[in-house]
Amino acid sequence: MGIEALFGAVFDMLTGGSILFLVAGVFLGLCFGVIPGLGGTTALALLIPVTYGMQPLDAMYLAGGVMGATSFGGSITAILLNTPGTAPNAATTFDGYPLAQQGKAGLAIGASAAASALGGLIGLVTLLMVIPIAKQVVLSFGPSEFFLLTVLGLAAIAVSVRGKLLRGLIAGCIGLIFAFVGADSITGDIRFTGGIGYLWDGVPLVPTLTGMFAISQMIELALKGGSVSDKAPKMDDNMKITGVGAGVMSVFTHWPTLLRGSAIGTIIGAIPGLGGTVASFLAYSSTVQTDRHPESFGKGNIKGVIAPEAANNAKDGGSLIPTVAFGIPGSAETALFLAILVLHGMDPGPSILLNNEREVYGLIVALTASAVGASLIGILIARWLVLITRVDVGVVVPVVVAISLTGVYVLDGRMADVALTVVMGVLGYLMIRFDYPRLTLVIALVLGETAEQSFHQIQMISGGHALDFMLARPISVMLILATIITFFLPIARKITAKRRES
Amino acid sequence: MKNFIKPAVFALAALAAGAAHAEYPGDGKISFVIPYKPGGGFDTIVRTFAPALEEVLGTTVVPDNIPGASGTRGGQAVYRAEPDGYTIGIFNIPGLTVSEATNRDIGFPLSEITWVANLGEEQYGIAVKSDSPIQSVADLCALGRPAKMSDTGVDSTSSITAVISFNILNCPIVNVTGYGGSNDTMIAVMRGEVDATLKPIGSLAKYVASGDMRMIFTLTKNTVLEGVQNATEIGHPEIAKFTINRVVGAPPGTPADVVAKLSAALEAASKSAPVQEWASGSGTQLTFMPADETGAMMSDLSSFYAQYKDLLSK
Amino acid sequence: MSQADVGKPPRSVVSIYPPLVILAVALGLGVWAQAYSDVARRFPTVVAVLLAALAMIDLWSRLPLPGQRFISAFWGTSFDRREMMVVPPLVAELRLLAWVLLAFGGMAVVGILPALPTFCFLFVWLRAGRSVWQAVQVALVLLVFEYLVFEWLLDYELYRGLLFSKGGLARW
Repeated sequence: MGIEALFGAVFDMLTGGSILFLVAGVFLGLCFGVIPGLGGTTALALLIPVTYGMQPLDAMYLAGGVMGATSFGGSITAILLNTPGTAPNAATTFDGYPLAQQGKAGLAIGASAAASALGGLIGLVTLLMVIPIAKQVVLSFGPSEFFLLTVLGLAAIAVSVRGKLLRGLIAGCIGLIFAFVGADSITGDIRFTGGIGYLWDGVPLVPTLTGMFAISQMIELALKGGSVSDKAPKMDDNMKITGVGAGVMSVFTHWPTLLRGSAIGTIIGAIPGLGGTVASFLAYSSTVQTDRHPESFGKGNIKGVIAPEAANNAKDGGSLIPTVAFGIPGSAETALFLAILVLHGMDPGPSILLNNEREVYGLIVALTASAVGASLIGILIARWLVLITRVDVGVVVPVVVAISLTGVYVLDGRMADVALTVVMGVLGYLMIRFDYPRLTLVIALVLGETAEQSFHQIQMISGGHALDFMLARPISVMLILATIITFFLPIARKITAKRRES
Repeated sequence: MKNFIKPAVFALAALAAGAAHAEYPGDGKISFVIPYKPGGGFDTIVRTFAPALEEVLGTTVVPDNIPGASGTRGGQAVYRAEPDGYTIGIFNIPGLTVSEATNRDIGFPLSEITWVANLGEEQYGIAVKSDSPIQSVADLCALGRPAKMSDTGVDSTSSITAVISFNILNCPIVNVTGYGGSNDTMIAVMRGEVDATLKPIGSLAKYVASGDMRMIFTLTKNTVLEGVQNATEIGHPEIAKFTINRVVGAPPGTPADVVAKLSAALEAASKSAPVQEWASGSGTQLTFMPADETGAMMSDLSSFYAQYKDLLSK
Repeated sequence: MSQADVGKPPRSVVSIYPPLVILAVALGLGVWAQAYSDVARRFPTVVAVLLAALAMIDLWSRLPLPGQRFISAFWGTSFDRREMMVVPPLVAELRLLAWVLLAFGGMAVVGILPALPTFCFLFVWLRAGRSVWQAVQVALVLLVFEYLVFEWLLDYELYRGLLFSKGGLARW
């Protein structure tokens, strides 16, 4: 039934004016992706009222266009300004920004575009194949697996901050503490808020990330002066930006990286609550870990761009697995997709594939078209985008600061978010200044709440025998092994390297 | 915040906003506060009612999302607004009633809000995995260990309902909280890590219809589902009192004539074809109550939850 | 990052103060966490202890104590691949911080639409030392962008500032 529905959806899209909604969605998605603070979730939330007056299917094209395009848009600023446009692009900064500094921004953007498009395709093809067993897939991930995945994510911090293990772990602990702020969902205790009502709901991710990356990076850039890329050719040969094509090709030559990134993205996407940030981070760290030259990462290795970007787009396909299985969202974006269906008087639930087949396949087709379309647009305009790295920071800094602060405000219409962004900007700057990695803090913030909650849930479910409970579940055992390998492999490598030296 | 896109492509959106002109107390736009982000149940019901309300009153109605602090920030905004009928809000009841009963600071006194109408009411049911041996509440209480239930937060309405009603039934439970949303709590039942979950009947019904779950009990006075026990049948009709309501309120001191107009307009809106159509499609139960009935219900609920104060604050 | 300014990291970066601050934070949190119920304080306490231990190791790696070299190699505490190679004078850092606070303060008081373009104008003109005309251009582009995308296209009301909106700080 899948194939006919798929062709039906393609036909639907090509006939009538619907494709206009898709194109509008792609442009809006790119725009919102590029701006730090704004992301796919904000775009969809702003669009919900708009979709009220539309045909449900047109609303799907608009939503799909936005969802597919934001992640690539966000990688552009991650590469050019070390400022992830959306949270999941944070991992792309590790190797994307060094490439931009070396004057190879075109290469990185080309690779990001191709990896996004192909990762998105792989995620959606996997989704189509998984649909018949989607229920079993979703049911095999419970609190035990959630907890172990967060532990795996925290262990991966050790791999991703090569040469800065100690300070990476310290930053991670601080991120965990931020994650504990607010109302605890197990006991209802209000923790570490200091009487500030704003912190009841916890330390929100997007203002933290925007402050930590966009604002602090701009402070650093302004103090450094000059332009992002000191090695860039002079302005007079400014139109000769090369490497975009080579970047696209690099994705094909590094196809194992692409596949691994896409696979991780799809799996993490399928697990509600973890999201794209964890997916791209794990894709990055596993790529570093399995590479023969792990020391080449963080200095501009193109594989460090391919893996997170492939994962980031593949997770959209993955996040639809719980949706087609039970009508539940796998990500913030799919939650808004379901909200659009409810707004149109539909009742998404476990029978969503029977009742809303057209809308679901419409979204899948729109996502596919959007991932590819956004990348094509990106490749076409890459040469102009790259010019940003050559503009005087005196102009870039105020504009990025202004737009990021606006973006954070638009998120929920709260000035308190903007204030938090500024505070995090200062903290982030201090971290750059004193050389503590910022991304591990953000990752720990994402993982901390899930880690704590799911651990206490296992305790309650197992009557206090958490370990026995976990060991009785095969997927949990696999995750425990993966965590052990992740944590000890770099240390073992270090020791053998030491032996060889002496 | 009103937000929609203007360009020609989205001209369709403009159709929804086409309003007539009559006079509600004066000129202006009604701001309908939703204390949560766009996309949730409260958001959807307001966005569905807004155009119908516009039609009846002839005034623009703008849904305004003010999320934060478990829905109390939006409530505070309504509390502080001018009582001119141009700011109304939807309230999560009995969530806020319970918070107040347990001495949690919600930032405004619930009793001072002018209650306008009750739009929806849902009752609870208990469901288990479809192949579970548990057939009734009696089975659930006779497992030889406390029954495990799944829930979102400890202070969520359904969790509070579970704790109080099983206390009334004198049946020990472990309420495993911390699940991300009500769907996740039901998935937890299907995974088999907990025995049952107590949720609004409408939410459970979807999974019961798909064959993933089986309803064993409804917290209702009368039979709602054939062959499923209700509260009266087990001799505790008082636990049918637990409901979840979508209540509209206005700032303290809103004049009675304005409240009456708003209440009448909301009633007309809830009977309008688009709202009815949406409700039947999305499985939403619309239960309209005018201002006086809603106010009575609110004070009734306050005293009802106050008696369980000790149990809830542990 | 390109040049050979890799040299020795500046004193402030390798000083013992950063780990001392972190140690103090860890201890403070550890104590604070004890105010909560048993389950609610379990994780914060563990993390506070862990953070304190890591801060001690950080401190150790910066002091000329026995085993410092092993710790430095095992835990990766070297400063040779810093993100920020230039360390500016404190005055410059404070000035820049003031700029960011100016942007935020302006937003808070008079609202997004007037404040942010003004901030851009002032920054490009005074801080970057560009001509007034260029500064005006940058400010105008920003104003047009913000107005066009948010106010006009998405019909979204950007913050109007404490002076021009009801509710004051309570609506933040």
